[in-house]
Amino acid sequence: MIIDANASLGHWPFRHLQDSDADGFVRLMDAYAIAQAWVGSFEGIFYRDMGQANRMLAERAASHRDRLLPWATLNPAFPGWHHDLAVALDLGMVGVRLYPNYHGYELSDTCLTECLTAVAAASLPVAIYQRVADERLHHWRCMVPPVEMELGLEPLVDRFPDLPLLWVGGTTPAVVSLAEVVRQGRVYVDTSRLEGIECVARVVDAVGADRVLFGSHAPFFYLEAALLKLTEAGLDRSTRAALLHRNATDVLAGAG
Amino acid sequence: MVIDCHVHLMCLPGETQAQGLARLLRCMDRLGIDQACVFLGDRLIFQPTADELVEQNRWAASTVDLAPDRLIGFVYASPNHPQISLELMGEYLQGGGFRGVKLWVCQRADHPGNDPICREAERHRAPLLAHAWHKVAGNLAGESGPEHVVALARRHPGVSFIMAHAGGDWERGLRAIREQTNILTDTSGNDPEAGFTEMAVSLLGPERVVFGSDATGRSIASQLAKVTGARIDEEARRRVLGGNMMRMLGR
Repeated sequence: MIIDANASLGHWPFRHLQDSDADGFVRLMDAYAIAQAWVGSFEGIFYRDMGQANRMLAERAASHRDRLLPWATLNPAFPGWHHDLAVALDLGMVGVRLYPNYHGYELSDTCLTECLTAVAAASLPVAIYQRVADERLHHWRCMVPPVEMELGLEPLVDRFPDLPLLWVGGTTPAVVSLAEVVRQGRVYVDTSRLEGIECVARVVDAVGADRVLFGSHAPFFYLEAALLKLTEAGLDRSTRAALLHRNATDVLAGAG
Repeated sequence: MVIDCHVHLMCLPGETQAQGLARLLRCMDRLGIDQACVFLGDRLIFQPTADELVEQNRWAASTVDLAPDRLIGFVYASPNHPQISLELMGEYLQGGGFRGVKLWVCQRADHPGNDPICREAERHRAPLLAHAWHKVAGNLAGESGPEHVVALARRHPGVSFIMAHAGGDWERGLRAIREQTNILTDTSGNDPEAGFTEMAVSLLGPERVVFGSDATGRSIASQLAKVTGARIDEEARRRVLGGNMMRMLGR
């Protein structure tokens, strides 16, 4: 069984992406035997009104509710996020995604603390996206620096030690350098942007097999890349099972 | 036959040459890579001296000697040291078992110091791989964009160039080299963004795209998936994975 902890649906503004609609994405999942995907929406990155983005996502995922588990996007720096969270809970969304760099706040900002307090009270896991696309390849009128996890992660872990926190889009050296912080809290890292030879094995060695989630970042990335990185890593059966589904199951069970 | 046209032999911190090679070979085995074109030495030196250039090529040659059936050496040549580069090309391309040339990135590809290197590559019928990575916030000093590789390729129409990384910003890079038919692109060294290989094959034709990973800095797997996960026909995939590189290497 494979659970993809990092997928998205909707319209990416700078390029047409194949399989970014729900039916197409489920066909892609079938081709690679992905049982379940946690999906957010590209609109959630770029829209102002998260309510609209989240409703669109919920509608898309509804026809494949057993396969596509929707994650709401919140913008704590924009008025009304409390209402967006309440609506997301009503819509049955299973987690919250945050894009601090695209939405214009820092990990140290009070608005984020307030938001995480509310999300923790609602027993949802949180995913913080460090980056969505390589910043060297951004559109020349839309350059967005990555989130500074190196400075911001530890205070969050200290403040919310029991909150399942997904660090999405971390690079191999960044994750390895913060391995102790990852272990201190309930932090999970996804595999989508890990790079370098045997990168997944090296990150497992650093943070532990119980803290790594299989994440493809499809359809923005080729889904096959995440699977082949596991092959390259040469993981034993138990570690592979942890990354492919066991840890993801723990995230949702532990949050709820 | 699957050939990775772009591999750096650099070891991870603390690794010996033998350990680094063993890691590379076991990853190649897990992923079904038959052979890899390798270049540079045990570490990255941005402005190597002539002595360092010699030393790094010797280190690469000694690694190739440990796995000659799996590794294909490319001479590491620098426009800052054209004379010593020519001597190294003579030594390694003529009887030394190396088959291609990697231009070092200390100067832009269109630097005049690369002209004698290109002429020597043409004499040996050796493919020449050149770095290009257009960064939206600005390139490093001396770092090429695709336009610099195009300028060099225009001056040397008899040389087969491989532009590395599809120019980084691949939508720009692929369009930039479209008309310059003595340039192929490799698939290496940027994120596995969906749609890349489909565009490369569509725009350039399947005969102008070659699989490369930019390991060990990149995962071989993430780069291989750009080809194996792309929606291209099987004949095109076969060409990209190894057929084109076989042709480039004169096999």
